Amino acid sequence: MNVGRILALVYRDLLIIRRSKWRLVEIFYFPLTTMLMWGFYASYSASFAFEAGLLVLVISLFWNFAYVAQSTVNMQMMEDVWFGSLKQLFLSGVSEVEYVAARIFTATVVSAPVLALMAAVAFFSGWDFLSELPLVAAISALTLLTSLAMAVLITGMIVVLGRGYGFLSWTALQAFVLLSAPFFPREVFPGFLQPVSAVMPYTYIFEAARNLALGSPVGLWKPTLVAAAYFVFVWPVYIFCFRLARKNGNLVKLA
Amino acid sequence: MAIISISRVSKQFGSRGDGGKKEKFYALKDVSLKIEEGEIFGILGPNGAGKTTLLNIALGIVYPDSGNVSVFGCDVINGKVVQGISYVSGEERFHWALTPSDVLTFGCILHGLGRSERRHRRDELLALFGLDKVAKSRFDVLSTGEKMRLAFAYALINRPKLLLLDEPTIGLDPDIAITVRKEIKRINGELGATIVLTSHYMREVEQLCGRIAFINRGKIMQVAKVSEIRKRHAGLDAYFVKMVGQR
Repeated sequence: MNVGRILALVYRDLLIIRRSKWRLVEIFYFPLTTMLMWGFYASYSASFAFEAGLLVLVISLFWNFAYVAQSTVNMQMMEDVWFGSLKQLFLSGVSEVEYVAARIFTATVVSAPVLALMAAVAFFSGWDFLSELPLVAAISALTLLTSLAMAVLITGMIVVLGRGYGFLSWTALQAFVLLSAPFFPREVFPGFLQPVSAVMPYTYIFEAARNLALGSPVGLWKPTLVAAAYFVFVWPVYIFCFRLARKNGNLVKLA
Repeated sequence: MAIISISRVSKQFGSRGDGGKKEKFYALKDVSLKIEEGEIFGILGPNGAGKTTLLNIALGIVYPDSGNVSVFGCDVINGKVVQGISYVSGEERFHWALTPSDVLTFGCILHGLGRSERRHRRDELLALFGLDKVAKSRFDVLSTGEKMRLAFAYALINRPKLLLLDEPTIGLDPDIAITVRKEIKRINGELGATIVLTSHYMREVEQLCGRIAFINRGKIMQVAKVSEIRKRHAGLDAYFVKMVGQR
C-alpha cells in the first residue's frame, strides 16, 4: 500500500467535492435539516415527553453521521463509475485497497464537520452532552469505524453486482440501521428478528447512544467488539469481490 | 526481450441468447502472443473480435479463465499492480469538474513526483500537448481533440515503458488524428516506450506499426510484419477484408 497514491486520491476527491456543489449540498443539507427538525421537536416535546424527544434527537445524530460517512465513500466511487474514470484510476497503478482507503480518509475528513454541526444543533435543542464528551466521542468514533466498514462492504457488492446496483450507495445502510433497532431495544422485534439484530453493525452503538441520552450506564465493549469485527471482516470480502469482478468481467463493465 | 507475454489465454463471457437464455461465448480462445520491447504492435480485427478483451487482460483488469499473462515479467493474474504502464482509449474520460491542470497535478502526485517537479512536469505536458490555454477549463467544456490530448498528456506523466492504446483516434477529426499519430511515433521514438494499439484504421496501422496480430472471433489468425503484409497484399485494407472472410 502506497501512502502517496492514497493522498493523491484524497486530493482529487476533495477537489471534486469542492467543485460539485450538489455533493456539498447532499453532504450537509440532509443531516442538518433532519437534525433541525428533530431539534425543534425535542424542544417542543421537552415539557411532556422530554426523554422521547431527546432519544430521537441523539439517535438521529449518530444515524445521520453513519450515513454521511458511508455514503461519502460510496458516492465518490459512483462518481468514478458514472463519469467513466474508474478504469483510468486502476490503470494508473492504484490498487483496490488504496482506492477505498483513500475514500475512507476523504469520508472521515468530510463527515467530521457535519458531525460537529449536528452536535451543535443537538446541543442548542436541549441535549447538554458536554459533561459526557468522552463518551460522545467514543460512540462517534465507533459509528465512524462501523460506517466505513459498511462502505467497504457496499463497494465490494457494487463491484460484483455491477453499475445497476449503484443505488446501494444510498440505500443499503437503511436496512442495516432498521435491523440494528435504532430507537428501541432489539427485544421489541419479533422473535425471529432478534438474533439477526444481535449481529447487526449498529445494534450496540444505538444501545449505547440510547443509554447515553437517557442517563443510563453506557457499555462500550460490545459496540467496540462488533465494530472491530466488522472492520476486520470486510477487507477479505472486498478483495474477494474485486477478484471475482476481474474474473467475470464485471469490473471492466463498471469501469 | 518480451514486454508482454501471453500464453494460451482463454476467456469466456456470458450473454443473453435469442431465447433469453444465458449462453457463454469465447471472447478469446487459446491466444498466445509475445510483444517485444520498443516496438509498436497493432492488434487488428473486426468489432467484437476480442481486441479490447486482450488489452484488458494484459492490463490485469480482466482475469483469463486459463493461461498465463506476464507484463515486465510480472504475473498480472495474482492481483499485483504492475507499475510503468499507461493506457489511453478513444473514449477517455476524466471527471467533468476537473481541469486539465487538476488532472495532471493529480497524476503527478499519484506517481510520486515532488512539489517542484510536479509543477514543472504538469506545465511541460500542458505545453507539449497545447493545453496551456485550456489548463483551467473544466473537462466537460473541452473539445474532443483537447480531451484526447489531455488523455495522452496524463498517460505520459510517469514516462511509461509500456503504452496501451485502445482505438486512440476513433471519432477524431483527421487533423487531430494526424497529430495523435505523430505523438504516438514520438513517444515510441524519443521515450522508447513499447506501444500496443488496437485500431480499425488500416492507414493508421500501416503508418505506425512494425508488427500486427490479426484477431477474429477470439482467435489470433496471424502475427506478421506490416512490411511483409504489404508485399503480399494490395495494402492492409485488402488484407483486413481477406482475413475477416477466413471464418
